[in-house]
Amino acid sequence: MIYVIVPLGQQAKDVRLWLARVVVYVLASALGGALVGLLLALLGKPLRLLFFGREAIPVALLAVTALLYALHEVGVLRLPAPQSNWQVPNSWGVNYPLVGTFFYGLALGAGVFTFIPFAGFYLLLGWELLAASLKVGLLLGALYGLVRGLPAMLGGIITFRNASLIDFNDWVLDRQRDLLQASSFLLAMLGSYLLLSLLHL
Amino acid sequence: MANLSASRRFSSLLWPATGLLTGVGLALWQGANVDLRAGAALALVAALAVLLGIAKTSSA
Repeated sequence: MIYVIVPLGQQAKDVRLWLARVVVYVLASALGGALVGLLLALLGKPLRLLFFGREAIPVALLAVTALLYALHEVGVLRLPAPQSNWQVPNSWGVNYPLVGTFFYGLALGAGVFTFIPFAGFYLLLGWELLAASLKVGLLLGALYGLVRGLPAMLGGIITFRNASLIDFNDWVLDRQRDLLQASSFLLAMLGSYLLLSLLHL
Repeated sequence: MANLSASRRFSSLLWPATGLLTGVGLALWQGANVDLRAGAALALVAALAVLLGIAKTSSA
């Protein structure tokens, strides 16, 4: 996305258009995440009936899933990681700067239509499903979409600093392993935290 | 070769193991009493989203 949402020049109108696109993108990303969260919460409501009101069952499911996927992230285990390889067409944002950017953000913020580089996303989906609360689904989904959309600002910031987008892109790609390790750390932390919380449920 | 593999496996396990211990420490410290509707998920989601956001700047 850093190649798509960038200022086309240094003039005030270019900066204004870029800012407008960033805001539209981030808000649409939050909306996309929130819609997925809401949908999963709705689907989770009948699912909760299977647990007979026992909160420990979904917590245990999420805890074990988090621990297993923590090992998946560092290549110790190989688990299913379903995802789509579809890429949002760049032309959306190029041909229709604001409307295209909105749908660009909506699709990426939803998270389920494009590739999924970190297993934590599956846990998020599971959490939204098993919590089966519209408020939680909305909040988690919107927060996910919002925070995920924010790095879109980087394209403009890098351009304004006359730095290279390609260099930054390479820098990120070189750190994929570090990011996976950080993801593994977070998943293991959450898994063990949830597992111990079962003692109190 | 076997040593190298063992060493790689050890280094791979280092991060999840550290995370696991951190989670245990947090749970003991807080007297973990969480349910799925608690706000505890928010920090994790934000952290994961930052990771995803950064990773996706280079693609999609």
